[in-house]
Amino acid sequence: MKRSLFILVLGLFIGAAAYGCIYSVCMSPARAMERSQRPELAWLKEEFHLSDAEFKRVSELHAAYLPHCREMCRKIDEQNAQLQKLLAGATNTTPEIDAALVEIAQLRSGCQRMMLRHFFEVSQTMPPEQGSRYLAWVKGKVFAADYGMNGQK
Amino acid sequence: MNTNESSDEDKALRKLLNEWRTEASLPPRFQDSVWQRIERAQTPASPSMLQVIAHWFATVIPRPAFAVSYMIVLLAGGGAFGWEHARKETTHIKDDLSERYVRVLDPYQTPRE
Repeated sequence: MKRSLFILVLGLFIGAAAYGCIYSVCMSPARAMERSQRPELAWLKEEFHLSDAEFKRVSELHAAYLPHCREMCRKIDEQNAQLQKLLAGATNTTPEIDAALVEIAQLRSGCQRMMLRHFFEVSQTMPPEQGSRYLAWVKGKVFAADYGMNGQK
Repeated sequence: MNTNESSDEDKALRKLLNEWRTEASLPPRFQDSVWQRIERAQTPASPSMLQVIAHWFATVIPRPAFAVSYMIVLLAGGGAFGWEHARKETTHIKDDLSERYVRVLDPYQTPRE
């Protein structure tokens, strides 16, 4: 009886150990990505099979793009605040509201131009096949038909 | 008690039994019912489920073939479950990171502080 119990417990222990070992081995690349300084870039490197040189170039482009992106964010917030101020209490459109809406639309198209330029640059850094895949993916994410309709996609 | 004394007592008992008579009659089908009781006593009672399990536990599990198969099944099952769980989790992490990449680049999706 004791021997049977020992075999049962040993089997369970072996099963649990196998689970733990395989799980931790298979999870280690994803965990390494999460722990990296720029997890989203680590993901990009892994997803699009970038060499170290390609990854370095993509990281440089990314770092150069971010200040422009932050500046755009600041302008968007400013214009949104301005529009909210104009809309507060308004019962009809005014020339100021029209002008704010035009500015917002111009800002949005400026943002999209800036992003698209960056995406093209990044895709050209990648091997052609991966570059095409990257462009198809990112266009779907950023320029999808419901862009901006739900806040996030 | 020696053998002679025992033999004397047996003889006395045998004599007494030969002299003993009873007027009482046996109940109907007495012999049949005696045999039935003997048969019932000799037939082994069917074991309970618990006994079957306990017997199986004590005799089957320790067999080397069974023990090795059992451990291989748990080893493979644990490994497969770990692999599947890691695969799902990795997909989830990658999806999160891809969304994060887009959020970082798109001013309209960048989370505001």
